[in-house]
Amino acid sequence: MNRTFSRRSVMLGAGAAISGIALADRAHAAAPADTLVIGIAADPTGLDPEAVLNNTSGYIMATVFDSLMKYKPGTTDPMPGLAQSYDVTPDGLTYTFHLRQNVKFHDGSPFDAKTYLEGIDRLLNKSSPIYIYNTGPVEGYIEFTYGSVASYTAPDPNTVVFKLKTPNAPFLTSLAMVWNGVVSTVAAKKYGKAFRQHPVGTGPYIFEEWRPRDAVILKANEAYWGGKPKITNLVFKEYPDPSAGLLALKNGDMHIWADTSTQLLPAIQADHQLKVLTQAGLATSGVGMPCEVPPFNDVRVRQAFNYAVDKNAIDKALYHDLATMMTSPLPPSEWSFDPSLKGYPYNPEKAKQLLSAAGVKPGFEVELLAYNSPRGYNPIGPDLAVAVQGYLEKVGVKVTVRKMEFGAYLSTVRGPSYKGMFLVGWTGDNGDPDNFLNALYGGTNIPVTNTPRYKNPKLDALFVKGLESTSHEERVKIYQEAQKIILDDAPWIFINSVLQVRAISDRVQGYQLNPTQMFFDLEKVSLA
Amino acid sequence: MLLGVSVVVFVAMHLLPGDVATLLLGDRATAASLARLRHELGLDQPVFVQYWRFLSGALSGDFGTSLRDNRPALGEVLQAFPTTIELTVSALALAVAIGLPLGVFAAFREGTWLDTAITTPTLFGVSMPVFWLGLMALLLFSEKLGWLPTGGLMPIGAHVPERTGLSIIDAFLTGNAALIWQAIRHLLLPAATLATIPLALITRITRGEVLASMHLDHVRTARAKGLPEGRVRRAHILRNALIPIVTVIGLQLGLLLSGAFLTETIFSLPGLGRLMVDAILARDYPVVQTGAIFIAGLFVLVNFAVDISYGLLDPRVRRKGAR
Repeated sequence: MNRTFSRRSVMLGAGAAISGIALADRAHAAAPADTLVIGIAADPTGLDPEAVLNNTSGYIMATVFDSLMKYKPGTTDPMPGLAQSYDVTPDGLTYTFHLRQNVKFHDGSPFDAKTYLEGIDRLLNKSSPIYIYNTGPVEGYIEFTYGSVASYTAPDPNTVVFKLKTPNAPFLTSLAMVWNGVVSTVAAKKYGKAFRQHPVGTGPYIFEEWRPRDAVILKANEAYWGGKPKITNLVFKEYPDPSAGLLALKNGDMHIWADTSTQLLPAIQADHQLKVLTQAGLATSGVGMPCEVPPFNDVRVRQAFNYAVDKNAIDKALYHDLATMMTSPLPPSEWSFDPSLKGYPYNPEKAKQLLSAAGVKPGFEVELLAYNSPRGYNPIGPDLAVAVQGYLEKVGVKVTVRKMEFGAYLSTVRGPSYKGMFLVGWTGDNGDPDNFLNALYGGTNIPVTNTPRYKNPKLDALFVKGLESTSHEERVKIYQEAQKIILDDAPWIFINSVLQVRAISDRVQGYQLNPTQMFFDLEKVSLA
Repeated sequence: MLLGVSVVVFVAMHLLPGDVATLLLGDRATAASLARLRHELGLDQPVFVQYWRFLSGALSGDFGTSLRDNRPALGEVLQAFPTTIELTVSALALAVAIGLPLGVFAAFREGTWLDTAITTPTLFGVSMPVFWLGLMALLLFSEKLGWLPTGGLMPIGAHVPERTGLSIIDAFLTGNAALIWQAIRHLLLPAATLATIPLALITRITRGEVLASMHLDHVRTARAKGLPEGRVRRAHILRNALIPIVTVIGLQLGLLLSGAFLTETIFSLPGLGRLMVDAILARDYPVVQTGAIFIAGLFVLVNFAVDISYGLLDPRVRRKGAR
């Protein structure tokens, strides 16, 4: 017994000693004062803006690279970036960019018309020694941005001229995308295939190190043309587990949570040292109806389905109020969004009347195909289909929900033989209304992105006008008219537009969300 | 065996629904863009051609390139491995250092309250969900008490040149005591969390084996011929009990190597478990295949080491081998 007691004493003593050591180190290990830490949930897949299509990669690249154009802070309105100014000819076919002077890439090489065009050659000219398609798979926006370009020239060292084959008004907004960041061609030559792991741009932060599945480390570009960054070190730190991410935010190890888990929002809101920022996202989500298939070829049926679903209740119950009902085919973050439109309020009686007028008998059966996992524009995934099923049953429509893996879902809904309804959604690429309205409802985009196969010649004519117009005001009018037509024709059950949500520490100052979710203008951010 | 593993993994990965190109390109994928990307990734070839390419490459040391981030697959696995081996070995060392003495102690006090006090918690230990335990440990030691960090291998801002990839060894190589201490603090919670199940298992197995050995004839004989009790326990009971214990420890090492995913996720550690799960979700075939072959190879090596240890522990095995 004595021996047992003495061993227990030793064990207790050891425990106390360990606790003592730990206590001695209790001074909190928050991140250093000159370091801003942004929490991410996954690893970037590469840091070459034209080669990868991955949000996390985009977050980081927005701090390393600049584009010729940029977005006005907090919006998707284009403004000059590495180009100091630009002119567009009235026919919308010639874009002249006057480049910012005395700008250098992080490796010291100059940014001018010659190096810029070498970068464009890298994307479009097969004989370029650094042709991007020779460096590995390319997922970027090259065709999307430059598909309409006929030629590009540099009449002098500070001017670049693009001539287009057909008018393409979204060209300016496309150039502002993070995916069109201007890269150092000297570095692209030096690193070759490995440029994806060694990004060199002109942006406010200089890439230092990427530790896979751990962190990407950057330091301030003191000579940044947009002003010296207020924070010296920038770290994108990976927290794959949301609960651990929240702990890091609370402990001061993280300052901005890029991939904030909305499930943990109550816990975030309960902490007074944390703030939740929200903004209308660049996304829409709904249910597509096959517009060529009876009875959906009758607009009254499509409108009835819209009236039958209580979108606000769905937003409240399933999206924790982090989504807003679609009152227009565009999300409210888009610059031509028409706030006067009211969408389809919940009105099951009106839905029944419309269905009856269209000859749809109670008990009508239809399938609703759902992708089986969450999407950026629909974080609850197939649960949305189940909710819609419940509402449609109430107006006498019998819906069978079928779930499919995303790739199979996509090929099914694009296929000519599919006759049912399906979940649909979209996240905007460049912030231009054409990228929502034409992509989703334009006749030329059947069946790839216009999966309901909705066609309206008047609308298609408007889209052509929208691409040709060089006047911002005129384009706003064009797309507002288009919104009204689409809303009335109701090819979708217009459900909602999810909000962008990010939790930040109350020490963060000068940070503003952008609808594209990217970390633009980070040089203005500081820590109190 | 490795060939078998490569076939099974290859077939399983290709049976999984989901196509890399669609996953990469998403909603805006067109038939043309999908076809181009599939071609660039080599996925437009028949499956057996893809396998043959992988196999012939692997035999010459080229395991292909990650479809997800275009880096060499073997490089990715080798980069992630040190974190996992560091975590696993620390966890197993903790489990053995505590579990073995506890098991022996409990066995020699069979039926007493001390025995019950040790064996009852081990029941919980073997059935404890690691993700829950890890989160609770984080909440207690990191949030409430503030003693230990929330995750990662090193504090943010600490620059330790990566030489071996093992954070503690790399910290030792800097010669900076503060960094060494930080590396240990960062590993403490994940290693302790991962150690729970093997610790409980080793304690239970040790107790059982020691108890079984205690009642063997040769032990009675040893006592009868007047050997001191300490010698009887060390040379006749413990040594005899060690063979099954070492087998379990070896198996646990293999299991931990491939099962550290949850611990790595909760504590944000860049290890092999997370690499593998990310790769499976992204249908990154080359990385999954390389990782699976690598882990299978390790299993073989660990089992080989366990077999060798039998000879060291039991002279009868050595003699049989010599014949």
